[in-house]
Amino acid sequence: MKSLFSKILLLFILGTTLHLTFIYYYPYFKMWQIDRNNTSMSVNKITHGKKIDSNYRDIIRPSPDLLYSACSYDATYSPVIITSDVLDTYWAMSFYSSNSDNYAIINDMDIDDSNVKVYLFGPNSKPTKINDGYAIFSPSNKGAVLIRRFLGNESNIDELYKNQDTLTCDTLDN
Amino acid sequence: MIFARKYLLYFLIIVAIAALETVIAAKIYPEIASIKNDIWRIIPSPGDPDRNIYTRAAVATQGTLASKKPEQAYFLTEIDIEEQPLTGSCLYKLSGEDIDSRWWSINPYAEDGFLIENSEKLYSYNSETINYNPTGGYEIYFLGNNEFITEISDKNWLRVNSDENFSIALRVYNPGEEFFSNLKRVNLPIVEKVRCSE
Repeated sequence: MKSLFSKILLLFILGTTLHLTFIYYYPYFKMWQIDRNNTSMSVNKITHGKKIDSNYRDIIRPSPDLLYSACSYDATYSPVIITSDVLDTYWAMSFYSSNSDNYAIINDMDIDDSNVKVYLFGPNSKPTKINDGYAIFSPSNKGAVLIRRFLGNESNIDELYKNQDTLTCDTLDN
Repeated sequence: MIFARKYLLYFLIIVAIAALETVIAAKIYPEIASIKNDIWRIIPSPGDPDRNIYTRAAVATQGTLASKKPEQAYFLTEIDIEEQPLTGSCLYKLSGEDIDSRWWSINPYAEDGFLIENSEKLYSYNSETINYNPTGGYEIYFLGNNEFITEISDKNWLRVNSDENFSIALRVYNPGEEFFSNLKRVNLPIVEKVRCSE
């Protein structure tokens, strides 16, 4: 009887461990899936979205009021430098680690200038002296940067598309 | 051979326990992690690095790249004020007042969580595109059936699928810290059923 109870307890513990492992790694899997779906997205390169409509299927519950751009970064060996012009309307740059945590956000209200330069350091990035931009520290070597621009009544949609062209995302070494 | 079968059975039991726990967690955890404000549900800071593994997984199933507070508040409802599921066979009226924030938007999603196809190519209203009524409030009608169109064609309205349930998202950008400390009580729109198709 005792042996049967021990067996059931062990199976339950192992089942719970497997469950917790799945729950823990599921966000990593979803981030990997997002990278994979953006087939044109190579590491440290920007991908620009168009205005989202009902054909969009990459990420569930997308916002139809935002114009997105994304960069899937790898800061393993060197910091990644991200630059962009900043809009007068809502513009935000969000940083996501490999488990989908949103560890930093800067938006147009935080930035006094008409453009921004971000040095994105990974845990193993080499030390780099900077004096001309924001330093942001990623908890993982890999992750994603998402830029959101408010479409509003779309009267300035051409300006928003032009803003996409000002975005760069590359390693310091390049 | 019997030995191998025995361990295969153990393995299957372990997988079954893990699957059962995951299904139960997926059912109940979003409710536990959410704050309710009338018909609306919100996970207060869905992208927060300090969230636990269940919140992180729940967000990954519903949106993945979510923002942390105070950048954005993301509310969702799948029910009307009578707590009945929102269905495309009925006409609904959402009524609200302007929300103190930088901007906000309201849009419906199909059952699969994606935008709903419509010939008008209109998927949402936001604080810049909504037509306010003379008292400063606004209404948005949701319809899946053309029989309702004549009565609401000159109003704010959005198309949903006639043969399935839908949800409504309310996004509020840069509402400020006070908004987040009062999530249960902030004034949010209500959704009421007008009538259903016969």
